[in-house]
Amino acid sequence: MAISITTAMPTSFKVEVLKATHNFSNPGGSTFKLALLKATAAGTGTYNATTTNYSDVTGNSDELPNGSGYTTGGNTLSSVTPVADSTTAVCDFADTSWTSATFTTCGGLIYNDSASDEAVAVLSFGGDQQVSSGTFQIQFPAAAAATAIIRIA
Amino acid sequence: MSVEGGVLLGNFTIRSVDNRGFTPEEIAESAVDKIIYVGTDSHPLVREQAQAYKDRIRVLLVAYFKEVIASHNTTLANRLREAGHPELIKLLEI
Repeated sequence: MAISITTAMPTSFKVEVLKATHNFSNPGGSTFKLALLKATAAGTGTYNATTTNYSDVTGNSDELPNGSGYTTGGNTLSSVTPVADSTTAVCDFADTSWTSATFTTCGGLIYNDSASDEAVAVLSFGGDQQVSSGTFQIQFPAAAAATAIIRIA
Repeated sequence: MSVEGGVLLGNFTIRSVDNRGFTPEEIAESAVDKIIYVGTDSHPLVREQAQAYKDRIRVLLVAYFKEVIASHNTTLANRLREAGHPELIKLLEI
């Protein structure tokens, strides 16, 4: 069995937003991380809107292993305090990179390290993405009403 | 009565390079997209002005990023020299 992943905002995250579980303020907010999954054929789990926690990934042993430019747990994301763009609330993260990296990954999970590792977003890379002795970067979109990575319209 | 809306997830981009890091031009491209966003619904004149500003910022970022690299290489070159490995300094030439 292989990893099945679909870009989605976990349903649990939507509930947690209403429960004030997550704080995207910077400074003073939660610590968010982005963990990378293994190559599609190297894992077994299913990740989509039903994903609730980083432990879903670790429980399936689907995270990239330590080494070759990756540290388990993933990169800490630098969030930008949410603001309003017209009538939409938008949240942004600074782009994140893995340097001196050699790995193949099919997706990632943003989770809240300060709130019991609750899932924030499931990111599918549209297939396996490979990097060899190089830099692997995830670029987040502009923090605008039509584009921001996380927004409440 | 209800109002349409929701919690939404935006599009992200994956970028990778093999056997090297990103160049100043590549990093500047990412940075300028973050600094200036031109909405698709913007008035054409505003969009044109923003695009021109974006192009100018990109050029400036590339120039400053190159200065940062050159400055950092100077620091590294001195550390290598102080450590007794002046022959390694030529590896910093780009």
